Amino acid sequence: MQLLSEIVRNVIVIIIIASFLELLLPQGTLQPLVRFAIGLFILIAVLNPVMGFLLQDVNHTIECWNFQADMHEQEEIMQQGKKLNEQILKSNQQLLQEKVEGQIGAVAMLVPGIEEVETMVSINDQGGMEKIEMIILPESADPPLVDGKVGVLGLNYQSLSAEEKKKVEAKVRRVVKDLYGFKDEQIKIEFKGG
Amino acid sequence: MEIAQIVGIALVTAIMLLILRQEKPVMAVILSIVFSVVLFLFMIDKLASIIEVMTELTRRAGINYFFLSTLLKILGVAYLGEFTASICNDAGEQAVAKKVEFAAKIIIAVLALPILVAILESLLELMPG
Repeated sequence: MQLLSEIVRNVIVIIIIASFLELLLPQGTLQPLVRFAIGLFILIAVLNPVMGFLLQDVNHTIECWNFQADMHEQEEIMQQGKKLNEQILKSNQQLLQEKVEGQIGAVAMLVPGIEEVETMVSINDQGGMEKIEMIILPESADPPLVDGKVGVLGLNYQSLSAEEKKKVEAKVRRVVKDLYGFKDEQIKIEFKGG
Repeated sequence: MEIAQIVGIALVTAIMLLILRQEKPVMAVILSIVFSVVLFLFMIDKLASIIEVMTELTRRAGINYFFLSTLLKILGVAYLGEFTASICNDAGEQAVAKKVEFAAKIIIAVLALPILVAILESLLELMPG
């Protein structure tokens, strides 16, 4: 009984819609083809419940034309998809950030006068690099001997002069700009220990 | 009254077409295309509301929107094909019009083909042997 009512309901709605659409049809050579397509849909509407009843676990060819997820289910799927997308984006951005930071740091360390570089890159939502901050540890001269012993690191630490720092900064800036296409205002360089 | 506006525009266009067809046939074709586009833009809101009502009907009946969307696509292809073919016919290019109709037929067949195959496969499974 349920099967019959389902068939009748589907057929009635499809026929009403189809006849309304037929009214809108242009008068021409394409009309028979469109009527044929409408006929196919009416056939599907009849066959779908019948197939579901007769071949419950065998045939899914026709069923797939009538698959309709529940609205609530659809929203849930969409939300899960969005979450998954965000997770993938986040992990990719993190990976990209780490790689770029490593690359820039390695390149900057090739500039003479630099001992070590800490690099921090800010990446926007689209995956573009927005800003780069570099903290440079200048290469020091060997710590001088105090009474024939090596002095405590830091106390006798001989840093670069202000002029040398400027030169190093300019070199690093140029290398980063040329290699990664940053603008001047996007690059911030600081020296460890002032 | 929109119909009055449409009738007015149609009459003016028809008269202008009559004159232009004698003097400048190229301009007549352009005017005909412009008229088609203007008419379509006039009707687009109404068309959207019809589609909305139909979508609501199918949703209430629990029928997949896929049916309606494919039917609407087929209807759209048929309309565009007919419009273009008639414009080509007006321009005296019957050969081009035939080609447009042919292309529209193929596209409609492509849209309907998967459903046809699904129905045939299911019917074959239903048959004994």
